[in-house]
Amino acid sequence: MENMATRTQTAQRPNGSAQGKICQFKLVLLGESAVGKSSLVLRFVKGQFHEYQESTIGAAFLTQTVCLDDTTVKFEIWDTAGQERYHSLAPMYYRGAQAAIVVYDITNQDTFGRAKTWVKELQRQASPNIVIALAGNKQDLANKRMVEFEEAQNYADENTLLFMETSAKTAMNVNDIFLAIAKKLPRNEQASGASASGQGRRLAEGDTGARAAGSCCK
Amino acid sequence: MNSFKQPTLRINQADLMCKNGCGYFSNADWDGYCSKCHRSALEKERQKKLSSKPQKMSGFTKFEEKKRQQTDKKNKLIKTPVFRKTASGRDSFRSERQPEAIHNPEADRLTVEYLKTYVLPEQVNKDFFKKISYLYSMIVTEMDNNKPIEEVAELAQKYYINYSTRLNGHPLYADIDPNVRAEMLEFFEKFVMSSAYEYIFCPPTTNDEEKDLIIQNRIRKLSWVNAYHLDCCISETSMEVRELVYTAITDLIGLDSVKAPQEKLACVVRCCQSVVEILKSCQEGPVSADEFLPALIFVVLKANPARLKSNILYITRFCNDSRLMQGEPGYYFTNLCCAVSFIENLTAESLSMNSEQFTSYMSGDSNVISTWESALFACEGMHQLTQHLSLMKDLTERTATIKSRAEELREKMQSLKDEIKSKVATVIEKNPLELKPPNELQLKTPERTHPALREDEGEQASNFYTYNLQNLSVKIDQKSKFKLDLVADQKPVEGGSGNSLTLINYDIDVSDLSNESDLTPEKRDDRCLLDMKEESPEARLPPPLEPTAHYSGFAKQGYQIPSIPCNTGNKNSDTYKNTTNNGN
Repeated sequence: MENMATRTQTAQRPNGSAQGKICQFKLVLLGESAVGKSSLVLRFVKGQFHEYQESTIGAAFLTQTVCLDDTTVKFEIWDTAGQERYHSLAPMYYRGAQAAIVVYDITNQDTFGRAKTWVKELQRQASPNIVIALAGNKQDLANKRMVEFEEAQNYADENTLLFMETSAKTAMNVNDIFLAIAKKLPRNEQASGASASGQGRRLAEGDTGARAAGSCCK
Repeated sequence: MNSFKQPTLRINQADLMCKNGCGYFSNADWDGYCSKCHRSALEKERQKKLSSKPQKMSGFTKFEEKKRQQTDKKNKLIKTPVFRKTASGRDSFRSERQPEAIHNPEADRLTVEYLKTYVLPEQVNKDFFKKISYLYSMIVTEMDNNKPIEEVAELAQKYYINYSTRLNGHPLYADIDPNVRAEMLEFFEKFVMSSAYEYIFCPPTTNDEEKDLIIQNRIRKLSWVNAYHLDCCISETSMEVRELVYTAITDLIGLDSVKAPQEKLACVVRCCQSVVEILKSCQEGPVSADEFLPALIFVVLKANPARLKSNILYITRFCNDSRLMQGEPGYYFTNLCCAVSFIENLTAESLSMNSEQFTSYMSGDSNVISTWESALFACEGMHQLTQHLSLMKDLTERTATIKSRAEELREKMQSLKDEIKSKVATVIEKNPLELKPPNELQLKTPERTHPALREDEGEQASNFYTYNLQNLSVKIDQKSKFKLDLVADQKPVEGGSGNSLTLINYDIDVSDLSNESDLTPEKRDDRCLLDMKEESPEARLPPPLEPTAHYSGFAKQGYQIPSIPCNTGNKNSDTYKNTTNNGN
């Protein structure tokens, strides 16, 4: 927690004061609960996997830096609540995000269905140049697979998404998917700077957007 | 599945758009217009009003309307409109002349703080304060002109960027460390916002206060919602967790007591970190958003912080955007916004309960007994009572299980008893040998006791002991009969063969019998007698003639006193028999 706080302290500096080539990106994690969103991030950020979950860590907000060529890409990872009942709140999280990872569980067809909904929603409502990655998690349980690789790959191709099957348990493709996102993101400071300003307004919009969503189910 | 849920969860693209059809997104706060169209609509409205009646009048009607809405919030009433009038006169006057000086206790305090924290060249300080005064007076003037708060906020945001560029580009600041520059930008924001707080927090040009009251009532109505409804793992009865929840609530309530946007944001962060702590003590494994958001909603519901909506809107408007959308504070603030939005739009479906139940809870028709509520609204005793009640419930359950188990055990014991009984019965049936008297004794008893018995019978036939002895004599007779029968039963061949063999067998049987506990009541009497005979040692025997006289005397008395005979009688009979034995 302490460590995280100090790290974000530096992240808080206005973009103008960034030295060297540091790009900061906001990345949201979307997907049904229990598909392994937080495990995926913990594997990426801390290199850990807790099968028996013996220690407790705050995994809702984490940051990780990736070095890519001459630039340092800093990911700010925002976890979202995956439960259906919180779905309408999602726009508030992904407004202003430059990247999103939509996670599903390859052993559960329903989670893939949910993932498709997320993708559709992101394409419609999030910032137009958002980089979307689709992650089929729990690849280590491939023998219980319910979602075929080809099916997901085809879907990803159709929607021009990054796609990988990952495993937080074996660390397979975890760093790779983040790196792939980093490569796809526009790596000039202006991009992140421009999106940073005017985000506050977006948050206000998100507030009302969610309200409108709520009012239509009454 | 998705197609079914879609209408309830998602918004139509058209709903999001501006009413004017300009292609920009709209906002409910702006009456469904985008910011530009809303502004122009407002302008039109204002001009219409201006043409119909003087502006002062419109301001007054606004004030009157406000007063009606907020009669219960007196401090607010005193603060805004009263200061409004005096301040407007003063500030418009000042902004014309010299924008440098801000006469405000908050500003004075912050000036001292600034001078203490930063040792910077006089020129830098001068520029810093000049910019602050400029923004401050601009905000005050704009607010006095009843400009919509969104415009003022936009202005402030622009100014933050301006000053940030100035800090990083102007030669005046070139010598200052980049970190200090960043701090200065933060302090700039803090200074201006704290000084102008009275004007820009929950301004009368907005309906923020109304929204506060709405959400406050809403949360009050939702007081029955507990951790279970939200599907969050906070254990409401654990003392330790309760302490942590209180910490989180205190942090959240603190939101209203600080003034600068970043200070408010810090409160949110503290609150959220406490929530993470709560979850750490309630669950195992990493705390992800799946657990965090429900827990935060729970805390917001239980805290019901004052002027929640105003605070959120204030932060959204006047906190530097770059801070609000980035880093941990940004994330936690977004979560708070989400929690509030969830509470505002909460339906039966979102608590996974049926709508009848939900309406009955909302209208207060049925009450949920919540351990949390009792702790908040009633005294500590009440809280303990509910805790005890839940403990009691637990105990009752346990008692019930114990009872049922005990019953089970009893049944088992009963069956075991029956089983043993039946087994014993079969064993007894199979081995009826017990009944057989020892042959040796048989031979001896008639010799030893018989004369005495005959004597007794003759002398004291009515006596208790004689009765006993009579029995004995009968038994002996019976036994002698039995002997023959049993022998005939068991060993039909041997039975006829001779006495000497059977006699040995019977002897062993009797010793067995004496060691065992009573098996059949009928044999008791004779067994006693047999035992006694065996136990009586020759040495302890009293002199031969005395007991006879003694015995007869006692026998006469004992015959009339019923309580004595049992013990003494035995003894006496013992002595008596001994004497008789001895005599023989």
